[in-house]
Amino acid sequence: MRKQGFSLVETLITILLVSLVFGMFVLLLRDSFRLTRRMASKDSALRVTQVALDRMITEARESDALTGLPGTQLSLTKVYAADADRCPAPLSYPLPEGYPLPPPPVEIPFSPFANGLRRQVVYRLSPDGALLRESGPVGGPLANGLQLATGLSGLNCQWAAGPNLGGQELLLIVFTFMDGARLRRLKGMVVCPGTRRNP
Amino acid sequence: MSRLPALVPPARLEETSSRSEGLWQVAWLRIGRCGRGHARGLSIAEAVVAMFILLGGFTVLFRLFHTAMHYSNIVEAQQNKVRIGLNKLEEIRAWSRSVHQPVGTVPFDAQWPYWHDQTGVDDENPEIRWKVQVLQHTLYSPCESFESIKASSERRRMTRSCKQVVVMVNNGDPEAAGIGMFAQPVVLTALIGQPSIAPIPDGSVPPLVTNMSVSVAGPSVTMKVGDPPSPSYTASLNTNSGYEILDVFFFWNTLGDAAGTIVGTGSGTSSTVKVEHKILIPDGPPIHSVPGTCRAWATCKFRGYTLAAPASGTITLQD
Repeated sequence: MRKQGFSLVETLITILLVSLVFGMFVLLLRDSFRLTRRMASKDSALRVTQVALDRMITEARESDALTGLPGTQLSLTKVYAADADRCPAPLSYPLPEGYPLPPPPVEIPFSPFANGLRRQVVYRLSPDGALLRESGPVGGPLANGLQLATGLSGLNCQWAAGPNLGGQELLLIVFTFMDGARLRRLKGMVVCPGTRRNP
Repeated sequence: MSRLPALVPPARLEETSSRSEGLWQVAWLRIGRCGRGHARGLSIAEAVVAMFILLGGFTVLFRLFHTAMHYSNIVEAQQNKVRIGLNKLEEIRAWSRSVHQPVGTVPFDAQWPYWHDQTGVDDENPEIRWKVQVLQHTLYSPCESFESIKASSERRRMTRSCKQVVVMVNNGDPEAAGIGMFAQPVVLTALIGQPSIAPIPDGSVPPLVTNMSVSVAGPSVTMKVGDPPSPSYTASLNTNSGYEILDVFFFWNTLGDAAGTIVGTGSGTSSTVKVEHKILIPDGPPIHSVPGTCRAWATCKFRGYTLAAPASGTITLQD
């Protein structure tokens, strides 16, 4: 008599082995998905916070005055580089067609620290944990709210303290954010040399 | 036959049909290892081998996933070290700006024992240690590439006003690479210059600076024809508090009713010169100066303002 397929024992052993392998595969898959989700969430939170911190550090380095420190927001003023009218037009002498020469143009006094030439920038956390950047004229209303990051728990800005650093221009910015179930801190320090230039 | 196309001859069709059936039979026998009518599944040995192959595949997949996670953690750890190093550099920069002359009281070009060769532990990551080294650094004016074509004695060098600060961060020993990629040190380097203060003009035209001045040190000297050059005259730019602003370049003149010739005494910022009792004639031999008295004047520019001063000692040139 010729064999026509698996015997019962072979079938049972095969089913057992397949079940074992499939079970291990499912377990691995579940753990992998869980880990991937966790890592993606962690990386995303860290990356977004780092980008926001870098932007704040860059702008603080350009600032000429920082106010409200220590505090839960960063308020700074800086020369508004994008404003084309901030510098007076260069003095030009038109070619004289006859004598006497025309009088030289009146020299326009210029200071980059005049309020009309600067902008005020505020970084603050919204109640739902988003980092907002708002800007406007110095002493005027703030607008152009830009959301830089989300999922943040706290923002703290202060002058760094330490030996020989009292009253100096070393700004300390600390973000706190949730990394999974853990509260993490991200700290950045920056020297703000412009704060001494502004008389 | 009525369903076949009219162009195909019947004999040809039968031959094609029988050949293809035979080929299929052979293929089925070779692949399934069983003939038609007695087909069966895999043997138990084949099934076990297949299971092992599957398990091996899953193991490889798992190892790949695990490796990806491992590298992700390494990248995050290295980024953390970089952040710690950057913060430390900013801290050192702020410290220097407040401590060193002319803002503070500590000479900038001295050793920095407060930071040099110091190690510490990061306050938020106790497993991470840092080490700082402060090294001498030379800058060239306008740049090293331009100056490298000159003779070494003529290069405009700034040797005192800049320090190279190296921050090393690592788990454990900051200087040594440990086992594994987690223990690779992060080394950051920055140049830190002497703190600067702004000149305060007095409002006159041309403006005079009120909070700093040039001082020239050098003795009074009498030189006759054929004498060697005078002793050295050294200029420096100092604040009213007496703190030196380093690596300022000076231009020299002898002014008076006689005129000696300024002779440089080496490369650098021309802060030290000597005076010779002769006048250089272009395309001709030097001739001796007329007898008389003069002083060595040093002139420099600092942040847009010109400052000048004569040496206290007079130079008397005789026949």
